[in-house]
Order: sequence, then structure tokens, then C-alpha cells
Amino acid sequence: MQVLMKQTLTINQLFLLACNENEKEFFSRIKFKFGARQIENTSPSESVIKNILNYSRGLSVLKTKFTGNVKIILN
Amino acid sequence: MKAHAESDKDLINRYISGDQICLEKIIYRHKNRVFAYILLLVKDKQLADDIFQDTFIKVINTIRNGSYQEEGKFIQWVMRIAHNLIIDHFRKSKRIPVFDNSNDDFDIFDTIKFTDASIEDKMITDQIHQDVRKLIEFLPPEQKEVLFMRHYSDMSFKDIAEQTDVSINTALGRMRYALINLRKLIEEKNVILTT
Repeated sequence: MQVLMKQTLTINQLFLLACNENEKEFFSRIKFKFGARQIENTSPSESVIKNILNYSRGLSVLKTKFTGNVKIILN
Repeated sequence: MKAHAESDKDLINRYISGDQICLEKIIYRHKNRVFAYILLLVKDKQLADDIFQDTFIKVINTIRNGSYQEEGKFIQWVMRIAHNLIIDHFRKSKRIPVFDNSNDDFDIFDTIKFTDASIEDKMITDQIHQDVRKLIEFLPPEQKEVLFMRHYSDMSFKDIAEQTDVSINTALGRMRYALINLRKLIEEKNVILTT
């Protein structure tokens, strides 16, 4: 059953939907297309967001004349 | 459209100037949409977390390197990075299959998925499609009509509403009941619809 339903949206259509529609519209369309009511409340783990923010805080980019940009990550 | 106090452009400019809070704001603003897109394609929460993390690591590297060109299309750019990482993941996993041997009854032929469906897979899929069609015949005519128009003719609900001379809400309602009734029929008749 699900296999038949999922065929109504290609990856490219989904991509365009995610890029061009506002968030509310995007979620209402994917709920409709996939019946995925739970997906709106799905978000990345807090630890992942922390990792990203810590990476950003620890990252220093040195712009050098001869070797280009040098990335240094400090703890 | 939801109005944001600060535009993505402003937040990025402030982040470039060293305001780390702006990165947090921008991640929280777009995280659900980006994550939902990744999850819909990879269908694995942990993997989606990894790809989400890699996406924003790339975003940070590009911005901090000074390579990001602000054209008012921040979310489109982030989605493109996420999309490319998903494609990379599928390419790698196809090239390097991973086998789960945690089970004692492990049999390699249970886990290998060949690119092309085997004759057996095709037969099973055809059988599933036939079973679904038979079940649809048990539905009331108006529900059957909407279901066929939507899933077999790929018509929009707007077109279905026009064709059947009802409102879009009625068409949606009929579709909803068609699916509820189909699920009931699957349970009642004990039909297995998996490969």
C-alpha cells in the first residue's frame, strides 16, 4: 500500500518543495503525501545541535597568503 | 509565511562578524525542515542526525572560509548541501554493503539486496498489487473512485473534486475513509502486504 502512495512524489519534487515552500506549507504537503503526521515534530537530537555549535566555537580559520585558508579546531 | 525578526542574511552577516548566537538562531529556525527532508529520504533517525550534522559543518566551513555568496537563498543552499550528502551516502552504501552479523542465524543471502529486483521479488510485488486491487473492490463506489483517481491516475484533489462534482474537503474525506476501510479490510481478511 505505502509503496503505491509514495510514488506520487519524486525526489526532485520533494527537494523543490523543501526549498521553495514555506515551512508550514512544506509540512502540510509532506503530511498529505506521505501520511507522516509525526514528521513535523521530528527534529535532530539536541546533542547533534550542540556538536555543531561546539564545532563552530572551536573553529578558527587563518587566512594565509601562500597556503590559503588554514582551519584550526581548538577544544 | 512566518515573519522572522531578523532575516537569514542579517544572521549570517552577524555570525561572520563573530556572533555565535546567530548560528544557533539560524539552525533552530531551519532545523525541522532540513531534518524532515533528510529523514524522509534516509528513513533512519541516527543516519539523519549524522547527515544533518555534516550538512551544518559544511555550512560553517563555507561561511567561515568566506566562500558563501549571499543571494537571499540560504535555505535553498543548505538543502542542496543536505541533498548532495544524502546522494553521497546512497552511493557509498551501494558500493560498500554493510552486513549485520549480530544474529546467530545470520545468512548473507538474507541481507544482500541486489540492485535489480529478482523474479521472485517482482512476483511478490505483483501479487501485492493484485491483492490491493481486489481489496479496493470492497470499498463503497465513491471511495473507490477517489482512490483510483488519486493513486492510479495521479490526479490532484482539486481535479478529483471538479471531476466528481464535490468539494475538495469531501474528496479528501472520501480518500481518508477509503484508506481507513482498506486498513480494516487488510486486518479482517488477514492479508499480508509486505515483500
